[in-house]
Amino acid sequence: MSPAISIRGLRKSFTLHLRGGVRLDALRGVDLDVQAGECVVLRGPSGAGKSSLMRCVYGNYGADSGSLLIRDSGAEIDMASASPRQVTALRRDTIGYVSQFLRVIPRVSTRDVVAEPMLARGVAPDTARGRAEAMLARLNIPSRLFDLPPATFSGGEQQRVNIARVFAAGFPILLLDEPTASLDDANRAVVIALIREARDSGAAILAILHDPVAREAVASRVFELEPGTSLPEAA
Amino acid sequence: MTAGPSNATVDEGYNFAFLDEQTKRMLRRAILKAVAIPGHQIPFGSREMPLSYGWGTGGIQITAAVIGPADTLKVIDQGADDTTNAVSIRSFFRRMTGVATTERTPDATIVQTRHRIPETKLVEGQILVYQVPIPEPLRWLEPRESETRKMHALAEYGAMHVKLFEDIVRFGRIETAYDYPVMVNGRYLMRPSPIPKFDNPKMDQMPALQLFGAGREKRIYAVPPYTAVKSLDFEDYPFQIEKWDQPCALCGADDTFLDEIITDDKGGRMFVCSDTDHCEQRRAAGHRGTGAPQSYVAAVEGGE
Amino acid sequence: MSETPILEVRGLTKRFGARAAVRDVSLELWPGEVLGIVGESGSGKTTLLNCLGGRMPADAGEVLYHTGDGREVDMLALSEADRRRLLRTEWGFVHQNPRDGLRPDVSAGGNVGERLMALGQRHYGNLRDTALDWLKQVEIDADRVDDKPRAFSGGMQQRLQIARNLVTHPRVVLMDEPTGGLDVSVQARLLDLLRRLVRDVGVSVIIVTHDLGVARLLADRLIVMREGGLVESGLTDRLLDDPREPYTQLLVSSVLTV
Repeated sequence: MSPAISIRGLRKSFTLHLRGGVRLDALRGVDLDVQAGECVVLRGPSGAGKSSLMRCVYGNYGADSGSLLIRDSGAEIDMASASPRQVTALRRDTIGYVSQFLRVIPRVSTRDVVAEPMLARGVAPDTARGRAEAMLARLNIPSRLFDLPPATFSGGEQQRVNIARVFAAGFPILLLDEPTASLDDANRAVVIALIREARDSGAAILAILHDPVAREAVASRVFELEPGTSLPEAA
Repeated sequence: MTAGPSNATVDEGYNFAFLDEQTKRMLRRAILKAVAIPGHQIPFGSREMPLSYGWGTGGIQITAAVIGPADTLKVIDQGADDTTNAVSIRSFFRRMTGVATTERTPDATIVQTRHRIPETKLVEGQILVYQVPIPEPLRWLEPRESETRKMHALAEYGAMHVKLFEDIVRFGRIETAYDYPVMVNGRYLMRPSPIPKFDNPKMDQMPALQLFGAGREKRIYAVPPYTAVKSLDFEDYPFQIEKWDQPCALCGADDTFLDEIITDDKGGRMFVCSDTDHCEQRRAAGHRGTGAPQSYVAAVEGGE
Repeated sequence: MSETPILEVRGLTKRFGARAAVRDVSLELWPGEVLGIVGESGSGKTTLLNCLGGRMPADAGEVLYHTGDGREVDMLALSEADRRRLLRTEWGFVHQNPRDGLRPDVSAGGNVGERLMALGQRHYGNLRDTALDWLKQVEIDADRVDDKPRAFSGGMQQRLQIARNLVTHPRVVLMDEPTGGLDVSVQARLLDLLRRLVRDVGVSVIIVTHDLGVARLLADRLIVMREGGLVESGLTDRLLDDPREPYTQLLVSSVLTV
């Protein structure tokens, strides 16, 4: 079976027109395969392009050259050249991304924030909300917070809402950018368990994990990224 | 009550029916066009008349354009032949044409009216001329003439029901009682002029020709004989005409539009036919109502 | 993915005298998609929207629309009767100023019911029930159904305008700065509502906004306009996080946080 993610010769640079057109190379020819049932942890110094790589896989950054094949229920789609609609469909059905920051509409309740990816797939609202509540409970978000928008939550709570949103929907490909940062030990253990369950049930996972405990617990292998030119880690 | 043509004094120095022949031809062209497109408003070059706008200048110009020496003219205002407006218009045409005038609806060939349709059924060959203050039914919701014309052209009339909808919202029923909008021949939305909605059903399939003139707004429109005229309504709030829980106090009619009359300064009141001619005809035929004070009856009877 | 766009705009140009307010713009709108048009004031985005919505004649180009009954029509070449009929049935237009899109002296229920009455619905009870249902969907209390929108807050007026448009289940809705002029908290509520309605009703939306935060939250794809022309287009978050064109970078960097 072909890899879930197959990256060949991926290059990504940024041209900063507002700074006299200076060009920053973030990724200079990355080759990487991630198989189903495998958790690959990206490692490298700050500025090596870990987040950039992950964002390229998610389609958030556009690639300059190279290919970025995503296996999508049998077919393969090159994220490097996919149309916006193909990217949208991949994000709905195939790729889940836990970013470092939760970005949602201020007023939406936590329950609905978590249910939304399922609703977008057409899951019945009651089912979606039920699954959202179960996942939030597992991540130790007290039920009294379900009706509140997560904007007022602590950083750790927001992070867990972000994780719940992706894991409740379930994706065959997971991109995890520091999912355990700012979590206490108990919640870190829950997230580690979630990642392992996903991996063992066949998800292909690409993760950035500075936390050695979490890395040790979930990594199938580690992929080293060489530093590119200096680039501030994108927020 | 009929005055013959010969005994009227015709003013010297005016063309027949006041307007010059050129103007009458222009008006007739507009009328023909209006008849050809039932309910559609036709612009015309409204002339200065020896009456102010608002006193029926549109109706007068139409009457002047269609009247001939052999015609018999009746003029009513709110159903009555003896109100100021009716009297002065009748006198105007007597002086400008010398034609016969009448108060009896069946005797008239032309009836010019302000705000009523006679109770006596009009027949083929008669012409009913309405005085129209505001011809455009869509004006309340669309101030731009260019846009209302487009709405008529494209028969975009849905919003007209909003007005009736709002009546039900506010009053629990369609409260519009005058100038109640109608669809003519299934095509054009039309204002029937401020007649009571009681009169709307009379417009439908009327054997007489109905002409509408708005002097200030310079519009003529028409409903040819035997044309469908349907009052707008809702399925669950069907069009209904006014009803009174008592008959006319003078003639006993229970199927006419009644006016409320205050009979004394102690709060006494009664309801009588708004159409004075119709009421008189009925009383002449022996019909009597109950409830009118003797003094009032005597005054009315004495006036005959 | 085999479906076709619901709307294809080709080479749309609109001139005011010698100046091209919209210059050779082409774009596609897909079923269920929210397309954002961003740019600074005077970039031509509202003019573009007005041309698409038949509110302003275009000088050149095509606006190919795939109708509900499977025809492809050029909105610019349609007879006025056909165009206006489509615009009030299969299309909607949400104005920046709700006063332009509402009848201020007609009750909320009448405002919502108008398009249905225009389509020939003649049952007061049903019209009122439908209006109540839509007021609920846009989070306006049922006991306001008989009130005139003149007395409503700006946010409520805007929600009413949206209900008035969506009541005929249009397939394409054009929105001109729908959150402009509203307080931030009111904006958030409206954004949430719009997102939910777009998902539930399955309507395709073109939304013009100068607010990149609004664009990020609502739009699947973005188009950046400048001086009447198209600068850059793409997936919303890619365009905002990885802008390529100098102008787009300037636009994105001009915002505090998006």
